[in-house]
Amino acid sequence: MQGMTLIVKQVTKLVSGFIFLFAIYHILLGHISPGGGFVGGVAIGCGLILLILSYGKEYFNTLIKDRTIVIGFCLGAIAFLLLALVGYCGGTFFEDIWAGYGGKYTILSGGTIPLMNIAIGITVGACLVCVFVALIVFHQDLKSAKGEE
Amino acid sequence: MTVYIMILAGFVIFASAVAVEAKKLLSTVISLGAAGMALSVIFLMLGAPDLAITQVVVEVLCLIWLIRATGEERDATFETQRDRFILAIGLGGGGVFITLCYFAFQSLVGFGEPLMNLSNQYLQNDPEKIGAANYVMAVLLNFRGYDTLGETTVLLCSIVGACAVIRKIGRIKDAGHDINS
Amino acid sequence: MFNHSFLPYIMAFVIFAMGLYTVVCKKNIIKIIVGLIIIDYGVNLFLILIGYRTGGIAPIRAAEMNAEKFINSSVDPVPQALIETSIVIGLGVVALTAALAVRLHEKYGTFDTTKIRKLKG
Repeated sequence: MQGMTLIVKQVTKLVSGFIFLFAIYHILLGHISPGGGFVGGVAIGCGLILLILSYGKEYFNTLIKDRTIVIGFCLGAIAFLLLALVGYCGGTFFEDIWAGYGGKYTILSGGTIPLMNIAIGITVGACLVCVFVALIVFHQDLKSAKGEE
Repeated sequence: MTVYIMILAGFVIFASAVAVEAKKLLSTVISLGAAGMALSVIFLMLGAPDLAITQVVVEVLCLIWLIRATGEERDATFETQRDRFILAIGLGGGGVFITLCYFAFQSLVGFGEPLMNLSNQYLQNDPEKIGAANYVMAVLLNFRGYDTLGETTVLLCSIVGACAVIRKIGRIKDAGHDINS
Repeated sequence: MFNHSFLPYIMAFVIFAMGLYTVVCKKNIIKIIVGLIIIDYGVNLFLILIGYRTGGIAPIRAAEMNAEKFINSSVDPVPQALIETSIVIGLGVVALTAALAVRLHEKYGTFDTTKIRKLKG
């Protein structure tokens, strides 16, 4: 799949850093201000889709391969389950055993909650990139393969 | 504040009606996007900022997928006499449904006084003890963690299903090419 | 004795009924998917309206608030948490149905369900 014109590439260079910053802010500080893992995950997915659309799939594969994305979302789901099982050390399933570590309203005061947000964010973001690649990129490759015949 | 919520809800109803009856499929998808944006502002007015951000981001992504699926098509189905009959029955059934809802809502609490039987126990905890000052996150990941685990599983299953429906290997062989992938 | 304080609930159910009519009575596949999304909007709106408190604040506790004032003036956080997962699941539903619609269009060339059934013979 080919990229787009020069103007789109320049604007993407300027804007995509802020998109990822927005996503990471909502993932890491989801327990203090509104946001959370789901918002950050969908925003990461949107940022990666912007990169695929404007630079083309071949260039994107030199940065992140397809296999990395699939492994990413499998590991994210497993990490979420493992963090839930960590709570068994404290008492019940999903117990937050490291809460209140650094005082109120800091990043570390959440215990397992910021770590769970990171796991959910990676899972949701990788899922959305996979569906985008399947829906749009494969169809264009198939159409160009048929068209060349 | 209730007046503003009802005005925006009326706009959502109008945009949904336009989406349902439009002839070009691109107009359908775009008016659905407008309905989603108005819904996000309603969520902000109802005191749910997490949901407002989530609704906007999710709805933009739905727009991208649906525009890819439709392209430049038009709604080429045409109405027969039987369809007008079904439309009349459908509208009549909808009217009966709304009337029955009106009588069923007599037994709900009024708008603006929530029951909060369960939330009183959750809201009494200190932010240091449960680890989050945002109580929605605390309910999602600490008190109701099983539901989040189930949701991640459902999302994973639907995404794997979508990727399995659009396979690459079998279809390129179908088109007559031999490709190693 | 008619109580007029639940008019917003009725509007949420009008949105739901409109989506239900679209799923049942329309013949184009994209219109059916749009109907599913409208049903999602209606149900989410109704459940958030149940948990609203008039003049309430969002359930995020600032540093200088004491517990009593916060409990008496915040909206209900439990429906908000569950609807957040429901919105993301709606995204998954749209992904799967849009993939099915794209595949059907490539195989049959049309989005019309009556023609697709006739082609089966």
